[in-house]
Amino acid sequence: MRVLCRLGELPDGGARGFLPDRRGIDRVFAVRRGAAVRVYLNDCPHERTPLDWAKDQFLAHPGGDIVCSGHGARFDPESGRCIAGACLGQALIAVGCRVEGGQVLIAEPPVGAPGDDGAPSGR
Amino acid sequence: MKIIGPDTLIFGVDDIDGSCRFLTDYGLKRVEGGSKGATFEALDGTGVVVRTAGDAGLPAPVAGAPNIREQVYGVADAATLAAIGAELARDREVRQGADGVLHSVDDDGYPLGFQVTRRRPIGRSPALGINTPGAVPGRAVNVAAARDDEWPEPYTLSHIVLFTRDRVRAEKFYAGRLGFRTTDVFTNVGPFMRPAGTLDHHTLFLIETPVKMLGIEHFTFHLAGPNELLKAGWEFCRKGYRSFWGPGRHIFGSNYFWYFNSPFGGRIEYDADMDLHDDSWVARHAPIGADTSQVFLLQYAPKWVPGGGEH
Repeated sequence: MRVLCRLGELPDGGARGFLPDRRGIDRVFAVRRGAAVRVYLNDCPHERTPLDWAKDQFLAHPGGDIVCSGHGARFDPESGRCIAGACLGQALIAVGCRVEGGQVLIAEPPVGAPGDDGAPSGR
Repeated sequence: MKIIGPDTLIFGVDDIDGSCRFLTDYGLKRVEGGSKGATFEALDGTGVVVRTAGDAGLPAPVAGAPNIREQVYGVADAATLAAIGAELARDREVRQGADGVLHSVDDDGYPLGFQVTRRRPIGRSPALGINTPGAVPGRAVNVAAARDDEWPEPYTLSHIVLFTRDRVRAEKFYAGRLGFRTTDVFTNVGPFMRPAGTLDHHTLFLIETPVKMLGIEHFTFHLAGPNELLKAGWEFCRKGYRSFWGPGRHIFGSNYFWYFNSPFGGRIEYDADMDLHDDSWVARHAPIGADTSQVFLLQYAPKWVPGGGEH
């Protein structure tokens, strides 16, 4: 496991991207609700492209669903399952994580993380 | 039926502040706004209206927020507006707002508006031309073209791309009821269409998908040309927005393109230098693929200079 960030660096109800590739696209993002943190690959199951429209813009609104800014697919932040839109029934790829001593730890390396060649991983 | 093209796209969104910041950074001018939304314009007065998804004044959505809530088409004159109203009233509700805009829906349920166009002349001199060997110079002697402080502005709303349940039915509606022409077809996807009041290769492209995908695929404004597209897209990347596809050049339409993720439920594009067609044009048919959709494809890179300090 490796340290992703301190828990306090994740706003409650918010999301944040980490591990940028050479073009600045974050390869994973973390979503926090209270003490619960989930980390997913920044990789929409529909086209295998990043979900955010700008740095850290992964949610419909603070405390809301995860939304892909490609075609608006919505995902449940807790399970990563797509609940509406293009990849209905599919799910984001979760990265193993746990909170320990005020720090968020994730599996290293994130399994299946998009490469850092800057291209959508599915193309 | 002289429909010119979309004057205004109205969106219902979750994040008003983020959506407005996004459109300002894209290059549009904010002309009114507050906590419930804002209106943005390109140089000719076409543009985007942003409203909260729960705004009771918006037509019913075809997809969950954020997404397109109405496409308001500009038409040539009051006679065209009356003809559209009469035609659509044959089989669906048409109502006229206090502002004179006719409201109805297409066969997928996408809300449509029609108004005598509110476009105005672009009112600025053309972008600097290109110097091609053997041809008349595109700009005057001693004019230096490259400017780092250039901020390209969108000139006019170009086109919208929508998902449809049934591309044959949708094409029949826009062609048969509203007088659109099909300019080219991706045989496994859908048609590119232009209304009769413009020569632009397309103001509408339809993509057949399962119903769960109904909504906007992307929308875009024309920039002055390829140079302005490259500079606008490059600056948009530098501001932290997420490039999706481009810069590159499409084959159908010949337009240069650069697509970005957006907070509007579909993507946004910059486009430039689209082909013009008249009714003598015969639509081409091809299956969509990497080779049929673009002449070339490039990618954003941060600035860099060779030399490594040795020269």
